[in-house]
Amino acid sequence: MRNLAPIGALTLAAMLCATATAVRAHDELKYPNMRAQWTRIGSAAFDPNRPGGRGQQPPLTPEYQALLDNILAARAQGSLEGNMTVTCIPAGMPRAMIVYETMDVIVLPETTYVRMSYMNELRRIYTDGRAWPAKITPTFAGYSIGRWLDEDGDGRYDTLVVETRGFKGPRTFDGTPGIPLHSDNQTVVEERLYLDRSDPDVLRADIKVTDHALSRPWSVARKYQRERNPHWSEYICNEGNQQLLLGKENYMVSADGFLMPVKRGQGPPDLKNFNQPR
Amino acid sequence: MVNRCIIGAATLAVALGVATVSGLAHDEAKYPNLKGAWVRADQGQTMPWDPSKPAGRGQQAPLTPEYQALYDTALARQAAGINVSSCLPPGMPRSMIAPEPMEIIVMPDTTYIMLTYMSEFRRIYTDGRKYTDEVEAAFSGFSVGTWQDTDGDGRFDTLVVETRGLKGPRTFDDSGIPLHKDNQTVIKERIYLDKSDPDLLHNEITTTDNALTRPWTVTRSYRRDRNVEWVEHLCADNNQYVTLGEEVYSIGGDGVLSPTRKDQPPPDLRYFTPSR
Repeated sequence: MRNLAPIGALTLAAMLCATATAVRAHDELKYPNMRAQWTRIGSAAFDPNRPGGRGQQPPLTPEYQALLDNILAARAQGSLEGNMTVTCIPAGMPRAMIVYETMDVIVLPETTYVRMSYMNELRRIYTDGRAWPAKITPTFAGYSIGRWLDEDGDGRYDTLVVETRGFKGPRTFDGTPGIPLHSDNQTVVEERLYLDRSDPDVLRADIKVTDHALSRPWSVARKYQRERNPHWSEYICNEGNQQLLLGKENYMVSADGFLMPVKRGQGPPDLKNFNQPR
Repeated sequence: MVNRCIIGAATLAVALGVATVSGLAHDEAKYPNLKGAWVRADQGQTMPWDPSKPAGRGQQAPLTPEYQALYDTALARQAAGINVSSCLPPGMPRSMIAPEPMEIIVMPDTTYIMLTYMSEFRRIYTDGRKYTDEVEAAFSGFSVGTWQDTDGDGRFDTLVVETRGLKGPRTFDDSGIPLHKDNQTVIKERIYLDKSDPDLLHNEITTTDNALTRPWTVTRSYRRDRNVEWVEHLCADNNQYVTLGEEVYSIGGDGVLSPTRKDQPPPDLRYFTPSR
């Protein structure tokens, strides 16, 4: 009997240990503490480590470099051509990860949610082991599958590796100048998300984009700062948005409710569908 | 030695037990399982605020005379074919009609409600914080909640929520039942799973607003879809309307500005030099 007691206690301890492990397998002890408000570190260029505009040196194909040149020429005249967010179309991936305002990250075992205040974009990164679906409904955020890695071998996950496909467009890498992605939307975005090894209040995203507008994959490294006392604001693009897109032409709506040109010499919109004189 | 083993094992067991309880205090065993997509249970063509009553005037909204007159005007404009689509989010409480699926994430300190329609995002704080007048107004408002164990089984089953700090304009539903422009709305919700069907979620919503003569309570329900394919709702991608001053115009599929009613005059192009 004396021998049974310690065995029983040990069995209990082992059972509890197993239970504790089971619980921990699904709780935050297994995952890095990424649930926070994150704000961008660095510029809003796609590659924050290079100057904006042509200084980005995107590895565009000649066809898409020509498109970018046209966009730059139009921008020089005041047009916002090439920047679809001016009409409240979301940035989409990979531009969403520039994080113009704030970003929520919520880690659950089966899904990591990345939610942008800007344009209210929501990314679901599935980490439940699913395979790529046979058919993906294209979205600006794309369809993301991830897996957690324990790179330093300490028994806890530290790095979320993500692949994103299944896009719709038009999308650009950035807002200014509006470096285009290919209109075939066959973009593949690969990411590694992890906390900085020496500063857990810094989140890093290594982003690699493969796209037919590029002559080679384009890799950038972005960083975000954790805000421990966050203030959340609603971003409502259509509230007070003065931009209007008619066909391929951008216009503005003035404060007094009239259509306005956005560039020098821009003609008025076509009114052929009206049968009444002004 | 045996005694040390017993004491050691018992100490370990107690220590692990504490660790387990601590773990459970922050895991889903304490909270109802609200995972999955929730689709509004009322699948009618119209989406009135009170799903148990007919749409429009049939809602019998307890509006003050002033706001009933505003509603009558809105109904008359709609009857004349004048519709306004601005891509502004519905805001609370209308968000909870959930025209498209919603997802709920329950964390100990916050419950998130992610609505596909208009990409609305609600944070319901359950960390004990209080509403203050310094809260920045928002269409979704500022929500604080408390979890309750109403059946005493040791698990939370009901999320009680109060939402204030709203901005406008907001309406109860797409027929245009207005909320007061002072935005002093207070919304109280009780969110819980059906006792006999865990794939059915109920939300008892009481709205107090200065456009109403009394609080208006409705019960909305949502059915769980465990195999949802999430889609993006992009209002701006499909919005065919533009408001210029008091006039609403549509944008045709070819991107050309068009009238929304017979004999509507074209917009004033005073800021353009005549060239077309």
